[in-house]
Amino acid sequence: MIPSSHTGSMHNATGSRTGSTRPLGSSAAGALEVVSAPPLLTIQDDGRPTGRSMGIPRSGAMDPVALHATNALVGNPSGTAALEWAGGGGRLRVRRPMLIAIGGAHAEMTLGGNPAPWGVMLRARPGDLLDISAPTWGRWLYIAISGGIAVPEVLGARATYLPARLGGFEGRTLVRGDLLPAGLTNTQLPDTRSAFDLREAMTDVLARQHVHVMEAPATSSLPSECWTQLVARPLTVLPESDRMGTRLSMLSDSNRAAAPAPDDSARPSEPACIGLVQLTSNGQPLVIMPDGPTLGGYPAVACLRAGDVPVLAQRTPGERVRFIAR
Amino acid sequence: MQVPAEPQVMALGDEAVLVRLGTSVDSTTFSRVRDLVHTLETASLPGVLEIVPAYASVALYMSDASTRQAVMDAARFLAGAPSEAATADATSVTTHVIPVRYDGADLESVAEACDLTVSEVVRRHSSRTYDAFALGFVPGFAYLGVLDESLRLPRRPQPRTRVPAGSVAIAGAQTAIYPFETPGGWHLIGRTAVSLFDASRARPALIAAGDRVRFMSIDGA
Repeated sequence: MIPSSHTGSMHNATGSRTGSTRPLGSSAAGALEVVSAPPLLTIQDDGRPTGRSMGIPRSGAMDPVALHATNALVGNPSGTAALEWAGGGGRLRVRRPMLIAIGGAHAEMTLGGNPAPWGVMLRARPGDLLDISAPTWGRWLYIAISGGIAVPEVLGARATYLPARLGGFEGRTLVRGDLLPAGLTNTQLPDTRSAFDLREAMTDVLARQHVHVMEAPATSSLPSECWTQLVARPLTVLPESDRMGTRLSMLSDSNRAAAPAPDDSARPSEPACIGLVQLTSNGQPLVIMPDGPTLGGYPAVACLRAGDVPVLAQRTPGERVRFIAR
Repeated sequence: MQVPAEPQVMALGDEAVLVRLGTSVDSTTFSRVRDLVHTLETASLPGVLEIVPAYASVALYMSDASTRQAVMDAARFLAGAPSEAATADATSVTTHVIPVRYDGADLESVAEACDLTVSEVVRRHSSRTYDAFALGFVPGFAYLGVLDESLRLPRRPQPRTRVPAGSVAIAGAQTAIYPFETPGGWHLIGRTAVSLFDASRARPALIAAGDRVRFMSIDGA
C-alpha cells in the first residue's frame, strides 16, 4: 500500500508551492478506481531529473507533449503525475468530483455513458464510469485529473519505473481494484496555450511520419553507409518495442556486414541518453526510450532531436518512420 | 607508457555532452575519468543537472538544449587543462568492503574452467581492490574491475532468467553484485547480504561510480 503518511493527508501532487489550492472532495485517497485495466497502465510524470549516475533512467511519460497538454486542460502544472494507458481497453470509476482530460493516443471513450471527446476538459461526477477502448491511433494515451495522481514522490518523481519497482503505485502497473489518490487542485493556470493549440501539438506528434536526427558519439567511427542508410528510407517499428526501447527494422545485409560487431571487452560502454539510436550487432537500430538503459554497449549511430522522441514513441508496431538529418 | 589521447567532446543528443578520454577499460584511463568528474563537479557548470562517469568517458546532462554549446566549450577547456584533483584522489575515494559467502552456483565450474582450485578462485577474487567503472543495467548495479587475468571467462552461453539479489558474479574482466533479482548471464561465485540499492536511503545506491570495492570472504552456511 501507499505509505500512510501520504494517503490520509491532502497531498499536493502538482509539486507547486505557489498559488492557492483547495480540495475538490472530502477525501482524496480513493478519487479514481481501476475497474479493469489495460495491460500497461502506469502513473507517469516528467520523470527523474537525476539518478543516471546510480543507474536509474529518467522514466516519465513516453509522450511528454500529451502529458503536458492533458495536464494543462485540467489546470495542472504540465509535469503533474497522470495515467499512461497502453495495450488495450479498460474502465475507471470516478469517486470524487473532478476534471478529466484524455489525450495522446485516440480511443473510443465514454464518460457516464456519454461519448467523451479527446483533448477537452471533462467534468466528472462521483459514480461516473470512464470507458476507454484500446488505442485506435497512436500508442500511449494519457488521463490527467485535476490535482494529479497523488502517489508519493520517489527519488524526485512519481513516475513508475517497473524494472526496479520504483515510484508510481507500489512501483507496478495498475490493476483492477486499485484506488488512486488525487492531489489538491491548483487554481493557477500555468499553461496559457489554448485548448485548440494543445490539441494541435498532440495531433502533430500522432500524425508525423518523420523524426529529426543528429550525429551521435559513434557516428564518425561507423562506416558511412550506416548513417546513409539510416536516413535514406523509412524504417519499420517492430513489435518488441516498449518503454525501454523502440526497435526498428534492420538495415540492409551489406550494411549489417559493415557494422562492427560490438565487443564489450574491447569497447567500453558509454553513458547513453533518451533518443540515442544504437546499432545492435545484427544491424537493427534500437532507440533508447524513457525506461531505457543509462549505459550504452552498442555503437550509437545517431540521436533523435529532443522534441522528436514522442513522435517515435507514438508509432505503433508495423508503422514506418523516416529519419531526417538535421 | 601510452600517451593519453586528446579528450573528445561531443554532443550526446540535444541535452547532454559526452567527454571521451579513451577507448579502453583500465585503471589508468579510469583515474583520469575520476579526476575529470572531480574537476567538473568543482566547476559547477550552470545548467548541468548530473555528471555521469563510465569507464573511459564522462557525460554531463542538462535540463534543456539551450546550454549545450556553453557546456561543450567549458568541458573542452576543463578536460584539456592539467588536473589539480589528481593529488587529492587517493585520500578522497570511498572504499567499500563487501562480505561475501563464496558458495555461488557457478563457483565449481568457474574453478574448473580457470584450471584453479575453488579456494584459489576465492583468494584471487577477494585479494584485489576494484574500481567501480560505472553504474547501469539496473539501479545500483556497479561494474567493477579489473578482474585477475586468470579469472576472466566469457559470459554464460545461456543467461539465467533469475539471478538472486545479492549474487556476486564475474564475466570478462569485470565483477559485480546483483542488487535485485533480475535475469543475468554472469557466473555466480558468491552472495552478500549487503543492500546495494534502497530508494528510501539518503544515498540509494551503496556504490557510486568512482568508488573502490574489496570483497572479504566470510564462512558459514
